Amino acid sequence: MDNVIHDIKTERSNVSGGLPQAYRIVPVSFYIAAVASLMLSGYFFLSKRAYENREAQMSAMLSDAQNQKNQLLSRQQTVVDESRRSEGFAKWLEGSHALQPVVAAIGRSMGKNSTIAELSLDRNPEIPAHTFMQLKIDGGGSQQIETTLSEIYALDYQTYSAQQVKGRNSTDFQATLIYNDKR
Amino acid sequence: MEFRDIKEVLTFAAFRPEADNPRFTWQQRFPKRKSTIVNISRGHVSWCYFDKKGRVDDTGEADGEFAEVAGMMADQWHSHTEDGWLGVSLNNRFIISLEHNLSRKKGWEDELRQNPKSILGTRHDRSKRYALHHNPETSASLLMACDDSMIKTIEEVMRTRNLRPARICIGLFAMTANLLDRISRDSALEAQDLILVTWLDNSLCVIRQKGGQWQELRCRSGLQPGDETTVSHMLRPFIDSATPSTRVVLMEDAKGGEFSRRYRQLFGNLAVTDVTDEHNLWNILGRH
Repeated sequence: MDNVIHDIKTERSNVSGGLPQAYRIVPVSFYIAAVASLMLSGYFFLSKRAYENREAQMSAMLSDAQNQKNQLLSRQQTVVDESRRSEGFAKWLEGSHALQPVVAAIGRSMGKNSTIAELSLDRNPEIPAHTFMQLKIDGGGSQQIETTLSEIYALDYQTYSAQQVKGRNSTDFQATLIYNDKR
Repeated sequence: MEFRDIKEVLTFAAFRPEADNPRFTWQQRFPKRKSTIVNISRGHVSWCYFDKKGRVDDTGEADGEFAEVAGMMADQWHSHTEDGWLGVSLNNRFIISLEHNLSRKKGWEDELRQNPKSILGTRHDRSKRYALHHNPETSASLLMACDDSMIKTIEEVMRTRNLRPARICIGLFAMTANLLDRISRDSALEAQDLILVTWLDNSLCVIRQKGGQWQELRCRSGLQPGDETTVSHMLRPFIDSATPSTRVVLMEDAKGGEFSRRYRQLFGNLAVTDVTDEHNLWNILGRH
């Protein structure tokens, strides 16, 4: 009070000397909290942006990987299809056998009184092991059929659904030949 | 709680004293805020604008009574204040006297404002307002008494001009108290035989101090401009009783002021030390 100049004005009641200085912690805390909030907001904003950038990069990588996967799957599918076709072809090749020995065996089985009037061998395209045979023999009768079938059986063929029709001087025989691989 | 209260807490304004709290210095009341102080003399008004750093920014003066000058200058004064708070230095219709054995009980400053009779006893006059400055070494005190009606008139004029009195003081008394404080802190100077002269715009206070004791005091406020006779009559007893070792210490409201120009020669061969600073009055009122 020593350095305070006297004051003789009409005094107003309830003149404040100001809040206690210790209470300054209230606005100081407020400003610290505000600054901290701003810094945290900034930090979170930057983190979010970095996360979004990373997410975009990851999405792009994922998209690339998906494309690569699709390409690989497509190539795999192509290979599988090729493989399946090859397998079919291999099975077909495996199922198919040369018919010339059959024709030769039938020819050799003919007796002196018998001749081949008609012979047709039709391979089933779906099941190459099955061959539909139509044989018309003039002369010889059933005996000649039996002889011919014996020659065919000797080549590891079996007959299935065999039908035999006897004419006056000829015999019609038809059956499905099935190769029986014993190896 | 209103928004204004929250704003004052957040701007730390709530931790500062109110502008009209008499228990704080001018700088404590207006920290980092611009302010204006007006000195009201007889037929003359001067003023000073302080910037936000508490330094003298600009000064001005005008002839005329306060009511007339306030009518012209109120808006400008208001623009150089925060919320219209104005400091006032009165320089008329007051008297300073030398008293002894006045009460110095704790809180005497507030007591003098609220119940001056308990401090002054029989010296109290209901038509006056008082201020005191005690000698820290002796029982002597300077007692300033100012007309209550004068203060009320000034407050009324300010109210009509949308101005508010932050502080009303007696500039000459503040200068005198400041000078006495400075001397009391200088032990070499305090021990000397001194004539202390304070002058503020035709108001004069003269004190004889010897060995730290205040021996005699004369004061006149609101002298007529150029009234050399009265000034001479006031100084004569001090000069007559002076010895060759007596030293005159002079403080004016501004450096190279009217007293130095017109009346300094009245001291004759006495050593005169002028302790007046630039903007002396304004610096004292703006710092304390």
